[in-house]
Amino acid sequence: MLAKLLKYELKATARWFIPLYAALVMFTLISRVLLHNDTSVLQESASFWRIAVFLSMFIYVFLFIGILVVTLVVEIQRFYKNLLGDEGYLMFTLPVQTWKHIVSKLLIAMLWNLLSAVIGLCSIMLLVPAQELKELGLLFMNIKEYLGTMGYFSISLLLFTSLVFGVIEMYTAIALGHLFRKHKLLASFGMYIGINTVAQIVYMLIIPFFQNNLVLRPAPSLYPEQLNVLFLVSALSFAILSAACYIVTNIILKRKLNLE
Amino acid sequence: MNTILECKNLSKSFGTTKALDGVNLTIERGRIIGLLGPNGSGKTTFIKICNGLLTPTSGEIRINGFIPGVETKKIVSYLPEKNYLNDWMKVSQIIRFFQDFYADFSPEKAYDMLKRLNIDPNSRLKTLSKGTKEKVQLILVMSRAAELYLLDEPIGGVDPAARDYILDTIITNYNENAAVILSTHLISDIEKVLDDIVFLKEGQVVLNKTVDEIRDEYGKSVDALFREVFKC
Repeated sequence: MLAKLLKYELKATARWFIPLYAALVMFTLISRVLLHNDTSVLQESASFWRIAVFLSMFIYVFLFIGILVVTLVVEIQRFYKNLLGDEGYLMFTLPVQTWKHIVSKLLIAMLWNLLSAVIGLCSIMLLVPAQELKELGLLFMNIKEYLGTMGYFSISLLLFTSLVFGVIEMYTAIALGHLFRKHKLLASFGMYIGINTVAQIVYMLIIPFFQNNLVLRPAPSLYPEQLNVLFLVSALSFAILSAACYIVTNIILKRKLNLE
Repeated sequence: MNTILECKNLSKSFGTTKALDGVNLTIERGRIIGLLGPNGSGKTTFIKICNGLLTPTSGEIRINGFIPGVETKKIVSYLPEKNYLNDWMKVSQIIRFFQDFYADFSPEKAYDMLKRLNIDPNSRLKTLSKGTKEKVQLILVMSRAAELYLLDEPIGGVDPAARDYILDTIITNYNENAAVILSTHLISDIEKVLDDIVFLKEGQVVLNKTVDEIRDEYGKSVDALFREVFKC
């Protein structure tokens, strides 16, 4: 049943993302052609090309921001509308365990987050001049030099756990807000701030346990190993917080559901 | 086991208002039950609790021996009073959706009913009128071979001609193993299909009898009795 939920979740969300991604790729290519030709052509019909470059860049930036916004909005809307709105009447009468609803929404939201990030990065790489691209590559090399192979692992883990937390904390905020009789959206927003405050506190509480690894040495700046540990500890806190959010969300949807 | 639904002392409050107040009810298989009452008497609240969409404040409800959950959702077919269809699917896609999730769903039956009611399976749900959407929902719900049908205002928004067809569908789908609970205030239209009557008033069961008992004891139709009991 999880596979089927994932399939429908993907279908329901893809109709937003696919056209936007396609448009972004198209305008990335158009902008690239225009930008990389401009020096030779500018002299001939300067104003026309300038307008064309300006327009395509404008649309490009517009699409780029659009993707960021849509990624966030769809993520919230799929949980709020599909589970806790009228469509919830159908979703919650399917013979499916509650946790599968949460996991299917979470996984698909993470997929779109990742894809949006990858496509966004690729499009930037196609547009920035090759020279600056080289510097970006150097940055990646530096990670290995500075943090070792471990660095890739700790950074990926940190990115992954923070992505999970970023999505599930919104679900939890919405689920908690749903417990209120009135002003559910306002309550959800308040809960979101609340969860982030709790997250800060948890982080503060976890750090001291690893103090030996972190601050014992009189460091002018953080040593590579320390940085690795810091990344891993942060990843651990995100993992713990995500698990807590997941449990709370599941309990609310399973035992406190009230669709009105 | 002949009892399909049993609830004991079931109550539900919203803030300080009591939507259901100590409801005790036993529903047997093979019956068509009319859940009748004026607006705000708790009909929808009761049906939503049966489906696990609302959590009771106190008391217990069991369907086929289970509290509402995955086990009961497999055998309960629910028609809500609102439109729960998403707007981006085609009719044929929502049929596929039901087929994917409900083992007892028959797509042949669904397509057959669509044809009877002149609904194009290729039309998008978004483009359908309110009444047509209600028909589609009812078709989906009645195309399941469920053990308990919970129909909340099934004929409220559709035209009289379709109303007859829908009631026919409910009766023909009826089998010894299944019970149908219909909530409505359009009593005269459905009186002829009902076996049992439950009157709800301010969240309490005020009457629970068979239609025959009502005719014998009171010497009047359910509709007339309703007008008397709920006289304003």
